Amino acid sequence: MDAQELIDCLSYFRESVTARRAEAELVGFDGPVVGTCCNFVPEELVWAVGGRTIRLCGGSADWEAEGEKVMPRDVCPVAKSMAALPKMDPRLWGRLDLLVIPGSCDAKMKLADILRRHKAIHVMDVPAVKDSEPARRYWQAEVERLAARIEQLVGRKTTRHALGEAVRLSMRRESLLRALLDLRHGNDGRGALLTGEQFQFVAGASFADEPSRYTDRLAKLVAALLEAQRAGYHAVGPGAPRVMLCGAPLIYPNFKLLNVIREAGAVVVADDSCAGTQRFYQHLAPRDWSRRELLKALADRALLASMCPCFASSDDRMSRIREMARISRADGIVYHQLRTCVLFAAESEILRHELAPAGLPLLVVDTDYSAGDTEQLRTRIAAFLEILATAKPFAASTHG
Amino acid sequence: MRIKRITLWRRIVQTACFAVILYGVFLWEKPVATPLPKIAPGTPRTSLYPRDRALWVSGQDTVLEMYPPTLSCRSIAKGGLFKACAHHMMSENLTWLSDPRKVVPHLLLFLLLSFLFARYWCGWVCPLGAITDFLNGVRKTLGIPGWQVGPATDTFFRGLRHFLLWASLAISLLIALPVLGLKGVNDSLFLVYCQVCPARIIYPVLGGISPCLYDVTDAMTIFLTVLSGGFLLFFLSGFFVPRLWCRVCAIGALVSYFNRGGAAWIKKDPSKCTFCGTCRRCCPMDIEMVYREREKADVTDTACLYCLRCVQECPEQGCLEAKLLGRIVARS
Repeated sequence: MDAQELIDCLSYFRESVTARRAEAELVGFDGPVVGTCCNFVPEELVWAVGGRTIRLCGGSADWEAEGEKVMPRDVCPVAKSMAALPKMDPRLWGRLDLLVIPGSCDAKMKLADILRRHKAIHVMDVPAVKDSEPARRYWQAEVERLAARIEQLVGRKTTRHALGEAVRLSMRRESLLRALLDLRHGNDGRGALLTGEQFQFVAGASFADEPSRYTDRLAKLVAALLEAQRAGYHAVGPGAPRVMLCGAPLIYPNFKLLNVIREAGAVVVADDSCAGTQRFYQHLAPRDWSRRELLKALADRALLASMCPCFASSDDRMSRIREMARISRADGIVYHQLRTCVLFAAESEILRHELAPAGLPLLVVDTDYSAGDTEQLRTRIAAFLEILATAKPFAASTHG
Repeated sequence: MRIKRITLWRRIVQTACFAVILYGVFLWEKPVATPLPKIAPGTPRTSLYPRDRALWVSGQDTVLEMYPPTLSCRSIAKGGLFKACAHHMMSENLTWLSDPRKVVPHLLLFLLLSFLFARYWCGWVCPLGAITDFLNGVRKTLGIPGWQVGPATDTFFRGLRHFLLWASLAISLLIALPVLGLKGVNDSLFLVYCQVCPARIIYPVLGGISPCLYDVTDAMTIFLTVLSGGFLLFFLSGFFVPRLWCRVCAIGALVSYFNRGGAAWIKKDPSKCTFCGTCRRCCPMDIEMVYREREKADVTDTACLYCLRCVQECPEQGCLEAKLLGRIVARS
């Protein structure tokens, strides 16, 4: 195996995120630039008109502190750090033609309301119940409304060919992600092929990167990993405790939890994060290639299999978490609860009840962007890994 | 566009069945002997309706004296491979009041074939199904948007196909009874379903003979002419709605009774499902059950044609599988 190739592949994603490469590129981009703040926004609509998208969720404590000047103190740090964008990156902020914010929670909704005074904002109304027919139709209408807004922005209609091309690209990206996830688990018993951090960089780089370049890079990574796997490579030894990470998204540079888990000797083999696995895992499959069906497929993709905790029922999410833990052979679940997010906090309680009969150990970590509790986290993770070591035989038999 | 594996196989089987059922008689000139009894009408037909002159002149020397549970038709030019469809067999024998001993072997064969393959007959064999798939495929290729059948319409279609089946069988029996002054085989209601079935008009054309498009002898034949025209238009609307005719087809309704309890099943492992709705979106019959089911393993709908597209498109490994005779034939 050419180890250098794998390292190069991975460093592309790492540097995209850490050096904010795409962000700098966008400032000089001469097409429409649309900011989003979560996976509910079908980015393909923007790609189809020759534009670029950037998901603006923030993970920095500095940005969060700056955001507190315009947002209340007790709202989610993701929203607060996003509110700091005009101050922290005025060039990118100035370059944005439109900001699409799904009203998936109160923080996002009011964030949109606050930013509306300075920028063209489009709010998408996410229904609270996702598996009812009226909700599905309503959400499809929301996606149509967004498509119209973007067409208005560029002053021309989206052709079905252009939209079809964007959807095809997205489908290719998704199938590559699925191939990557199969490799990541390292289910051949030789240990995981990616660390939690490496995977998080791969997913995170998709926030702002040019989608076709990103997809090509993803294809290269999958090929390099396949080759590495054949050569017997693993990123983390097979003996390391396998942890599934659930809950609120970890957005760079807030990799505190990932670092602590890695330094404690464990490996994150799966996650259900909207900035990780769920970034573009949800299946996109249009019924046919007419414009209407493409829009419907995009709407269904964002809504139906969403694992966002903003919906009234968490049944689908719970069953999905159990299944992901089974597939990835996780020994336990670490639940990342971002302080002040009511939705994730409520679901951690539900998950605790759900997992009790399965005997899968769960650690709920309530934290924020500050580095102050790192040592405390270290102690808790270490204690949890000890529990995993003793509970492992039992966990293996319940979902072996 | 790339055709996926299951769909490719289905297209091959459909094309082969289409060729054999419609043009088989051109390949095998001599009738092949079957152990099944030949049933002849008890009363010779003396009708002078134009439709009777144009049709049923064929169907005299078919290759196989049997009635499969799919739309093989009496009106295929030179008779076709099979005698007619199973529904035709039931209808005409009710009217003829045939000797049960002659009919029972045919009924048993029908039961066996339906039990084994249920609506695989519709999805993989039926030539009319192949035509409607082709029409819809042309639309998809042209990128013309289709029409969506809503839940209320779907419920209506589900009722309508059973109504068409049982009403046509009841009429077939009624006209033979010495009541109401109906004239049995010579009545204008003889084989009433066949008269309005789109296959009666489409198959002859494909075999190069002219179908009887209209019959204005009396009020009933005019009514049936209008109805058959309507049904033909409805069938052609399959351009916009996948498998539109299959949703109301009486032969489909007949075979659909074997969808649950026969040898063909669609199974789901709900714990593996992400509820992404792909199975529902790709389903030509707009079946929701596969998507909705959150507990049970059995997701076989009576409308299911076993095109297996849901199994093919499902992105979750091992979530959906198709079983035939206890064996897994396809798996997501």
